[in-house]
Amino acid sequence: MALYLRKNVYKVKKSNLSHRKHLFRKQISLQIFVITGLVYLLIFSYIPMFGIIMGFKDYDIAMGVKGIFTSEWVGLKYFREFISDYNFTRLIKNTVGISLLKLFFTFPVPIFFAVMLSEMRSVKFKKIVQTASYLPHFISWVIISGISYRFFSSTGIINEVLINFHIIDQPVGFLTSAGLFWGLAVALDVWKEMGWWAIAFLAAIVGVNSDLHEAAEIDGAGRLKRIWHITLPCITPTIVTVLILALGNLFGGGLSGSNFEQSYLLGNTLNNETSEIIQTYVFKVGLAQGRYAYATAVGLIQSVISLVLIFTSNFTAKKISGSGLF
Amino acid sequence: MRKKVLATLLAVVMLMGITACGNSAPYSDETAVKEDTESAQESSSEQNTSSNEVVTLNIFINESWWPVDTFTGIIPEAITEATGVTLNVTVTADSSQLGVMIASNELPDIVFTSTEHDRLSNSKLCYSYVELADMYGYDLGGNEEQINIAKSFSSDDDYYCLLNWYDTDEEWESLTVGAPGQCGIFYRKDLLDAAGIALPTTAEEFMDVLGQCKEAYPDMTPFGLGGTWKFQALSTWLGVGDSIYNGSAYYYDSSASAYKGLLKYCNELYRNGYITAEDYANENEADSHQNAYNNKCIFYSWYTSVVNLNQLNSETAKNQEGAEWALMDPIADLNGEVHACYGTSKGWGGTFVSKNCKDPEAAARLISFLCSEEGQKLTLWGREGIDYVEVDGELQFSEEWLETRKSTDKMNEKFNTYFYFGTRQTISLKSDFSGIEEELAEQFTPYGVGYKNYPEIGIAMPTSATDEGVILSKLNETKKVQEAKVIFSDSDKAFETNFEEYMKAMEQIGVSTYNEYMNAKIKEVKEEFNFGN
Amino acid sequence: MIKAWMKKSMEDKIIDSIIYILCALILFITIYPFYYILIISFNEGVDASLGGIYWIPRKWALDNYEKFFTDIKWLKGLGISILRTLIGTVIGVMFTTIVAYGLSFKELAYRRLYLIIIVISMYFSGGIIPYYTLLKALNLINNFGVYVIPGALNTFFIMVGMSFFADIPASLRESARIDGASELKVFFKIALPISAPFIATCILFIGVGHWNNWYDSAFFIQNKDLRTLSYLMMEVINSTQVSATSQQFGASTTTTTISIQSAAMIVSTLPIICVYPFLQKYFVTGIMVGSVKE
Repeated sequence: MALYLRKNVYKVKKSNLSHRKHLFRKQISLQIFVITGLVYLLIFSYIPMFGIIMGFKDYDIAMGVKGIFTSEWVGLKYFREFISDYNFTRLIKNTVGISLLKLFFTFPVPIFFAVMLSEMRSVKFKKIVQTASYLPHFISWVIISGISYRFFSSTGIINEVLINFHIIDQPVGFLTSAGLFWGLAVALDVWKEMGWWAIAFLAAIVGVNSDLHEAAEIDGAGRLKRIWHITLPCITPTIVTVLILALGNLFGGGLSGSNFEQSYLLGNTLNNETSEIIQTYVFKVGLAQGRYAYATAVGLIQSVISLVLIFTSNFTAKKISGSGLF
Repeated sequence: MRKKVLATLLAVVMLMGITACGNSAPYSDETAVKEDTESAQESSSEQNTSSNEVVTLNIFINESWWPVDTFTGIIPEAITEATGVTLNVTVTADSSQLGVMIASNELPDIVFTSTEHDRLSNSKLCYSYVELADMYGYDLGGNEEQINIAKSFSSDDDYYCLLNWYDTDEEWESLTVGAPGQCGIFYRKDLLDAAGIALPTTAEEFMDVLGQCKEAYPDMTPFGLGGTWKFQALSTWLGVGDSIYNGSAYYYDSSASAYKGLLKYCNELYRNGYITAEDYANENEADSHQNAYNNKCIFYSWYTSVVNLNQLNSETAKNQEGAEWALMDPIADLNGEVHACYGTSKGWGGTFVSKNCKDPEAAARLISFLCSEEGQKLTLWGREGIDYVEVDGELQFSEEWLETRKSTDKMNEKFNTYFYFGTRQTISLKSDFSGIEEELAEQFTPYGVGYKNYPEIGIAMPTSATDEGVILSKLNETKKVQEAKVIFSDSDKAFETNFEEYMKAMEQIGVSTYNEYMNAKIKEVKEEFNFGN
Repeated sequence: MIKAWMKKSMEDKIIDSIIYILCALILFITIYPFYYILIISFNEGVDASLGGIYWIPRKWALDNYEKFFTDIKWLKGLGISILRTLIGTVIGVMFTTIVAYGLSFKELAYRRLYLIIIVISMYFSGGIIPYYTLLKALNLINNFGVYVIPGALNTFFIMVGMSFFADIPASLRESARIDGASELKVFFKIALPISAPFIATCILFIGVGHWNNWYDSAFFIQNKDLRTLSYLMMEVINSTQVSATSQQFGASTTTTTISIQSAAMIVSTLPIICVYPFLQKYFVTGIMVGSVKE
């Protein structure tokens, strides 16, 4: 019996390869669609990747581009420098902490908001709210940090309002308190990106077959039930895709990739304990000093971890919901 | 079907058209004046160097805040008349741009930058000044000290730029009015007078005065911290500068003996409520100015320049009638000693001529002019006889100049003094302090008393590519953060704990190694270049 | 039967009210900051830095905007930006959707391999120096093409697009193929129209990206005639941030960094706000949820 099975497996394997080749020829037009994209990526993404070896070499920009190849190998020197850095543990803690928090809050909110919008009856109000909601996306972090002093300082409007409504007695140091930085960063990110990402999810919701909803309605399902059993499952593939991609970009700050701007612009010496992340630190002691090799090495660490995250989450997603990215 | 084919064809044609047009070698297509660009691209050695034709050179200014991006105005026109060169200006938008240009060897004709001097000082990338002087016979200026400083950037015995904004000790001593720009503390004269509070002369008195201010004006912050200046003035006055370097031994700030005293003093300021944490955290100058203009603080630390003082007065007067700011005299430290301000300046920005320059002779001509006495005065003072006259060593400016000077925008548009690549700070100070009231100018004089510049420190500082340079940048980063923690400790015990942690962190990063390195290097530099005594 | 109807109505009412309250709140916290920036841009800069302005400009001034429209270079920049956005978006959306469409077929041979190649390219990069060298080798430096060619493939939207296109019933595609249509035709005539919301999203995200991108204009273009509007804005914004160690005259102007940035933001956002309503109809669901269908 076992021998029989083994023989069949062998046959299946062999026929798989020729099967694929045959399939390839059959799908040739589709294959061309995809392969043009790949060739493009090969040119614009893979060729420049040779720069990654910079992270293992004693390279200085004064050596020119040739220097990337001719400079000496220093192995893991920069990696060691980074890991043994005085601030290493703190940087990791802040980067991962902020990113996870952001994922936890900024991911569900656009979905929730998109569902809410799609359930709204008044079309006019819906259009107004939707248009207003994506406006913060266009406010750059530079401007936000600039006017945050006006809004969040101890004499700013938010503290004023809170004190007037007797919610607090003393003004809260939003900008200077290390304990509040994470909360502030997450809240601002949610506010800024919620409306913009809701657009993507709204597009998915619109694609849900209305027949399903009609049928469910006839069967007596209430709105909540319909949302839970129809809308959400139908957009699950989109949600899973975006979630996996967000996880892959965890170090950058999830969907919006705003970690660097926030820490760089809203971070200051007083909240540095919780606001300094890998990217800002490497920028200050690396790129800003022209140390491209060091910055490349640390960037490599992050890339590898991101890749691991993406593959793991894809695997998990497939196991749980059956659908994954690949 | 046909529509689609047509559409695709159209798209392809458009694409080809786009990539074909607009494709040109970088920096070669400004339609400036009458000159021959084609031959310029071929070989620069067979240049027609007749100064009847005006040459356009491309310059990259590596300062993103540069307020002018065109070579227009009365002064640039005069420069073109004198040299036959006009400039096509590009200002950097991102700090990495120069790095990428260096790596890909795509430097424009001329680069003016205050950073990357060491990376640019090599013969692969730029012409050396000696080479230019030999080839074309121009004197590219610079005194011995400047040349030595510039030589220290390269690994060969040659120099590729000259840093501007450098004055020798003699030049500082010859300055009759005004003082080198540094951090100082301004104060509201009207408020102190009204409450009968006298100006402090020592650090102890300063603490008391702040207390009196707080009592008299409880709604105001006694000591407002300006943007990036914060405690720098106090640092000098409390002797930290002297304990960093007294001419022989050098210590990084945090290892200096008077440093802890400074932090303790600042901590007391905080615990007494004379400064606010938010003020300290804020690095944005505009926001901290708000405190000053808006009647929110009594003492305010900022850069000592006449323009700043005038601005404080005019803006605050809009919100509070009778408001008057003045510049406080430096105070004595806790032991009653007075410390003079010192500098570590080796200069600021250098002008490099890249090997890609299509007309190095024109570049040399331009630089030679800008560095000459005549050029220096023109770029900062305007035209002799029209905009200014020198009478008995004193400068007198025309009405037009003084009027236009009141608005930076108008000044840049009309005169444009932003091509000061060859000048020294004393030249700028001479014009800053002329045409203003004596009372006003006198406030600045105490800041120049005993001022000493130690260029050997500036030169010895390691470049970022070296191991010591890496240590330095990490020390600087950690210092900022740890300092804040220590200063804002809430109790004596917390202060001591935080300070100890701070020192430990510095040790771990390598401050001792750095101190050792600096001491050795400074000795080397002094010997090699015969600096100071 | 009547009980069921009443229960539904109650649930509907509660949900509706919650939705309205939440959305009203969201409306306020998203519109107000934007509005604040609008009034700041029309207020004199130094005066604005004194604070206290919340509802209307206190000292009306057009200086902030004046800094932008003084020179012919702004018109050129506007032209380049518009051209770049239009061409770049068309190319980008077309290229991205076609690749996404191809990849959406689960039976595609070597699909997994392709996806891995794409994913890796998203996270590994050699940095700007090799990239610059590549562009130089391809003759794209100082060339309008650098705006539209390197960014033509948006890997993020390839991924998202895959799941969108996968939703198209296979039967539709099959019947078209049986009728003798080529894959290209199926793509254009069937897949695209159905995926209108996704295409609209693509257009919006990619278009806005092009409009706001100043980075490539700074690093890869030296010809002043090819600068984009967003780059010119950056220049103005930078020039107001006079360095703390700037040795020259201090700033005695009426504009501050914030006021200039606010004006810049309004100028660059206005076109997007004007264009968006045309795309918005694709995001309005065709489902009328509830008991009454009108």
